[in-house]
Amino acid sequence: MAKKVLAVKEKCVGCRMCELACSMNLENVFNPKRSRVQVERGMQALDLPHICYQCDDAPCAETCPVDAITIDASTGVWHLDQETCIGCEQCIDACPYGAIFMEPGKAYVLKCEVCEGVYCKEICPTNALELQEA
Amino acid sequence: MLGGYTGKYLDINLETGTIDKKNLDENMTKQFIGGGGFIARILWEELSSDTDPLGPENLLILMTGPMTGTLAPTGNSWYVGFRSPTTGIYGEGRGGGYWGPELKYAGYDYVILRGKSPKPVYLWINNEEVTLKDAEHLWGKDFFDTTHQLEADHPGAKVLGIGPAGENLVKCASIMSDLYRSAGRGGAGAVMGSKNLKAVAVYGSQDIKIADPEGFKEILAEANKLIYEHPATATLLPDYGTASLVNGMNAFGALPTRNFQSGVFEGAENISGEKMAETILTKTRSCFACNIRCTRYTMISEGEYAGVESEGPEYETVDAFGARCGVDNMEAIAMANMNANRLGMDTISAGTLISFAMELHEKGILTKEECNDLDLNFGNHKAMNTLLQDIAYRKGLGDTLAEGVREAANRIGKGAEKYAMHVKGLELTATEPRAAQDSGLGHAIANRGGDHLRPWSPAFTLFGFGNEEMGLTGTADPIIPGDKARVVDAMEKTAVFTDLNGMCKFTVLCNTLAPSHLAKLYSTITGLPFATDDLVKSVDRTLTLQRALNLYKFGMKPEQDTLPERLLKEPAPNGPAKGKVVELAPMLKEYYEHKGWDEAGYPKAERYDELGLGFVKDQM
Repeated sequence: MAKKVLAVKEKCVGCRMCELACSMNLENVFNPKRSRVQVERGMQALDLPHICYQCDDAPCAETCPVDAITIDASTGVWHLDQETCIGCEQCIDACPYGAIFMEPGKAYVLKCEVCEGVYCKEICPTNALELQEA
Repeated sequence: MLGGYTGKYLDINLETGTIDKKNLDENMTKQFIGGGGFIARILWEELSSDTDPLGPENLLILMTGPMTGTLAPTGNSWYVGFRSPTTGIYGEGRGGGYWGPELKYAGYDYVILRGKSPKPVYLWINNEEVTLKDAEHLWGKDFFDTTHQLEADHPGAKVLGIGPAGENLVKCASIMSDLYRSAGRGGAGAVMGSKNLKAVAVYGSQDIKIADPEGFKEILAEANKLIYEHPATATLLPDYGTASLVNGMNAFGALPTRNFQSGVFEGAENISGEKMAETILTKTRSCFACNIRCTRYTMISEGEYAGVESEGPEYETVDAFGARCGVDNMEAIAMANMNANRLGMDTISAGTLISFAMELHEKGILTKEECNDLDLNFGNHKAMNTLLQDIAYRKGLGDTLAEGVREAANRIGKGAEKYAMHVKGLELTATEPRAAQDSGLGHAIANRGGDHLRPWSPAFTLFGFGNEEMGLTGTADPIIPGDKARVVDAMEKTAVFTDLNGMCKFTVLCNTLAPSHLAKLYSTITGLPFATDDLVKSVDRTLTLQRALNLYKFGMKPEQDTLPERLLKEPAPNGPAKGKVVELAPMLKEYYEHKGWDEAGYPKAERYDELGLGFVKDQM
């Protein structure tokens, strides 16, 4: 089983603090559109966190025309190479969890790569994000 | 530019369609921080005693603070500033949700809207691309439908706007955002309607940078720990929402009931947060960046009120449509709450208006015919829900009530003013001042009129949450007038600091976070070294400028620092405060002295100098 940050959607309250934590941890700024976890909020109290599930059989990597998404065999985490990525968005369409996002103004995508510190998990007020080790 | 700010704002003339992008004045940021501070400074510069609140010359300012859009706990607030059509004086409202942060991500700290558009429009802000767009197809739609339409047209956008009440210039019309969040008080929605502006949709994808990320994370960890340990923010608010107050307030005799005839409601249990959790509560949610999580999501699937679905109702709403109207039916309150959100109305003022009309009907001042043929008695929740709609659409009695309770009483005459519960024209909120004298003082002196939030001092006097850094320790006796000026001032200073920055007051109301935590959050975000003393001074500067605006630009007289006759003369009929009236005069005297104002209630000239407000003296 891959190392991953698991979202427990029943616990999510839609505060989106994970988005702020992610962009702070990785980019040193606050910007939800640059976060690797993004929460969808909708009618009937829908609060749905989208974050990479690190699938064994990853449709994103499969569909990528330039092989920008590769697996770290020791952890099972899928890495995205921003230099290689051409921003074609095919992985965004392929992902069953809606967990890949365009970086605003850039020609590459963003996905959770289970970073050092997992600040999103630390900040979540309801423990809706869990770290699962490989 | 200091951290936390985007450094830019929009100045938009709706009449000519001119859209200017301007740079923030860094000197203003240091003096006034943001939120109500910026609003007061801008209104001082631009408005005069001749400004008609519903005329094109009034400004509508959509504002944020340096913490809006950051990870500071509850860094989600947006504000609206204007000259109030309800009171004629300083107008400010605050909303939570998601809209304020989105404006910052689009690259703007605030938006000034001036003039009146020749036809209905909405404003679309998509990062640098800012356009006024035709809104003929949205005019007349309620706020929910407006939001869904704009979300469909602009995927990912956050929507702020008005409902029919704002279009119809109803004096208690709110500006709504994110479907259910409201800047309700003082008629901001009517000002927006008077400008033919239906909505502001915004999408932003830019960074907010802060000065000291590592320092920020440290103080954030400390602040979050306090939030997760304090009973108010860790248990009461997330478990039962703001309506967790109902039972406590009722026990203190402080739950306004039947238009403030009493502070004890026999049906309180049925409208409590605990009851809501057992019945219509579907889910606990939160606003953006909020780990307190007081938002209720409620749905009703069967019975008379089937189909109701909304966030809320909040404590104020539960009292306004519940105890104050003699209604102990939670579902009926939820219906009124949802409709107020759709129609874009302040639930506090709307509930005051309806309970006022109910009392006039029961006292024989209004006949059934004059009440739109409704059996407008306390407890009639069907009539309450009908009259709410009639106010929004100005139908019959609703047209009179739509002018606000002060003006409605004038028009009705026959002694109706005795039952009009307002201060300076703004309808009172859900704390019975006879049972919490300090709340009487707080309502009397608040800069926007009958206001509950600036100094919600009952957190200390009734519930015993002190504020050591501001000198509030031990216990206070809520039903005597002594030593209340200091309490109100300390609570006001702490609470209003959140209003300058973009945080929610719930971080501080029960002393969860202390002023020193706020000062540290502010310092690490902006990069300006800032201590508790600086915080106190910055709030004092803002509050004093707001008072000066009222006194020297908006024609307010200090004699208006008073309360409705009922609270000053009619003894409370029951509860812990039985036999008490509000002893306002000694509290006011003490407060004026404490603030460095003269005996008549005017800040002394040297106060303006001390606070860096020397420019006010030219207008005195």
